[in-house]
Amino acid sequence: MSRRSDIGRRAFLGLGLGAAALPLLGYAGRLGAAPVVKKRVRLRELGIAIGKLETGAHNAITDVEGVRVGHLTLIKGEGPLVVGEGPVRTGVTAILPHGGDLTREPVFAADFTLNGNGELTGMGPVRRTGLLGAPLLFTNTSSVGAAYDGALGWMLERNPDLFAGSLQPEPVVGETWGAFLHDTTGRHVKPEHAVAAIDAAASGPVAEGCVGGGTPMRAYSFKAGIGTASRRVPCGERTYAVGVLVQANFGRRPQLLVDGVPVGREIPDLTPERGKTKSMLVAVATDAPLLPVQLQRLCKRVPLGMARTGAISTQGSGDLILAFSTAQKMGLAKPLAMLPNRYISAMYQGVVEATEEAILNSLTMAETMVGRDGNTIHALPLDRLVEVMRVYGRLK
Amino acid sequence: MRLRDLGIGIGSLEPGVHNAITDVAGISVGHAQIAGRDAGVTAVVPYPTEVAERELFIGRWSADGGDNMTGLGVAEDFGTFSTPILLVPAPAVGRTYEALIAYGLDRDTGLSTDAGWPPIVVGLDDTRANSAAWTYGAFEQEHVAKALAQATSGAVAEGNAGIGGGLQAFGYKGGVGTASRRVGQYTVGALVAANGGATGDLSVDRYPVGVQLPAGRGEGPQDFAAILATDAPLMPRQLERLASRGGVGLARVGLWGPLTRTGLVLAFSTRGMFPDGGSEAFEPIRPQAADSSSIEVSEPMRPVGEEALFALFAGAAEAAEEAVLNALLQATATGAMKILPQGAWPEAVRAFQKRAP
Repeated sequence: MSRRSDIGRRAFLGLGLGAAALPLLGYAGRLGAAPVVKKRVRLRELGIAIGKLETGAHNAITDVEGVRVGHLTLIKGEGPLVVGEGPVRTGVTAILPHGGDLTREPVFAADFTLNGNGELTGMGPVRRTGLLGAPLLFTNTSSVGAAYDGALGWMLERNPDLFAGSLQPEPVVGETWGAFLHDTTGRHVKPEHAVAAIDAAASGPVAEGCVGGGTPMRAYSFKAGIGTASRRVPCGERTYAVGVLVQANFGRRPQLLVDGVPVGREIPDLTPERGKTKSMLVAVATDAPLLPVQLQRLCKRVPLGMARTGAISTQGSGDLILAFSTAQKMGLAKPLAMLPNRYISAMYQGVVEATEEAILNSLTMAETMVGRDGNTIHALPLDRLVEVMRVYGRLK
Repeated sequence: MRLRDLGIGIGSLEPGVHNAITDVAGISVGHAQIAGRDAGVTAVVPYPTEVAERELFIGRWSADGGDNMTGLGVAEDFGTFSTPILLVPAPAVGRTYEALIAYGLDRDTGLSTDAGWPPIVVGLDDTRANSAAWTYGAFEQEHVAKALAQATSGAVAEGNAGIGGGLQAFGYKGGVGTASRRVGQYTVGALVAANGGATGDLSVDRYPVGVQLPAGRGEGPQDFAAILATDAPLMPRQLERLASRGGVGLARVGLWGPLTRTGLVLAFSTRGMFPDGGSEAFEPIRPQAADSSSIEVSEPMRPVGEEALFALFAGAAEAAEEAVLNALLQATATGAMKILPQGAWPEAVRAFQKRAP
């Protein structure tokens, strides 16, 4: 019996990619009282630059060669919540360490839990072997099982001997809670949606904001979702790339800092009527030859980047971080390389800066979204952000 | 047949009434088979389903640092959990997770910190009996619902029941087994999915049985999972230590060996140490009754001291070891997997126990 339903992948892909590229046209009429929808741009395009290191070509996790990102976005319906019908505001974001044979050519990886009220499946093999041989998927809380199921099917299809080897990789699926806008109980993500996100994964620019797993998410009481950034890190004669992708769903408004400026206190309005958010999923990629023990140290610096945007990690937070290095596949096939630890502080600098900027990109790129029961989460007004930064003398 | 039916017991402590994990009050166990084959799932339900929600403390021990297990973040960071624990074939993890989310949503649409989230699903390698592709195709969420619906206290079906159907241990048919020990006023129980181990390593109460047996099938799975439960009010760190003693029992019987790939022991306490009714007041922690309809707020809970803890450790090791042997003895032959030959070893073990009590 196949688990696949008849839902065409193409239809969902079309919807997903369209949603990534366009504002929510379907809601334009309902946004009358909200601020005028303007073009969303990334933080740097506003003249705000975080840190001192250079970004990669796309300022995205995909600047780490080989890394691919794909989104599948599900946006459907409006009005009152009808469980099982919608409104639907969800999706899946897939991150692939490389475009090759993932399950047979795993890469070094490690994870770190800042606060554990979340799910990140598949950490068994990662912790046991220090190897990641599976796609990494971000979705919403009630869809972990479906995404896992879809990803496992995708892996089994490519490697029927998945369970015969010694690694036995498992799908890595993380979640954050998006029930303020989305019919979470209806569990609209199906296994084929996870497969579609994986199949859509590509190198190059990454869609941000209300896309993929980030679709219904919010940060600092503004609309947020997916954000990414990268840094080029000089290590002696070599320069390595480190990239971060976040699914941001955390923070209280008064906490929000942008490059040290208390933007959240300067823009106290436009908050949702209720609800809180807590969690942060982070993928870190680098082409520096880091061993698992070094990757775990890298993971631990991600919360410092988060803290620079103001949030603390709360009781309800699932702040879960996974880092991988694309430098070595399998690790044992060739002589092992290891970045000398004297360079790891430079990598820390890169990951802290990229994390901070990725979170802020998720805010500046996300559109205002109306979801179930007319619940609205407003976008961070970019003109006001720029004005605050100007007043504080922090515009470039 | 169980080990004690052969006149052999493990260790010195007394078993509970059923010599099963269900001797710990409030716990029930349910199994479901997949498509009438030697494949299935086993659910350990930590508190009566009438109880709306309850957070319990949990601790984890891992033979190799990483196991196929969901719900890790909360279990590890908070030391708590609140869902049934499902032992399933690894290809069924995603659908089982989905089924437990549905189970949780049925109970509470909030899906916050309560009965539905995060699910603890443990994936096991049963590919000796069932191909991954077959399981991936045949497994349905209904199998999980069935195991949960059929969960009962009292005697527990062992051997090929539930997840036991596809397991192999010591080169012979493995399965699910259980045992328990009374330790003073407390009970500790074990349920083991016996999977892995080499024939020559099998040992019964320290007597080397395996070296005298014909070698079973040489290759196969090398992962096991065990669940320990106790009504002693242990804290998460203490439960981690208890879980590690489960590992000691599993090493003694030979299941945990040098080739073990993933060996997981989860230990939980049924004495929820969270104040009932969401009281914010700082007051001594009081035990919760197993049945929510008759909560008796009695004496404040006293911490289990080191001495009592070590007595529980002994019980955990004994119960885990005996549970493995019950799994082997209760299993029935399937396909290419034969059952553990009996032959002369029970008599030899009995004689050994007389000589070296």
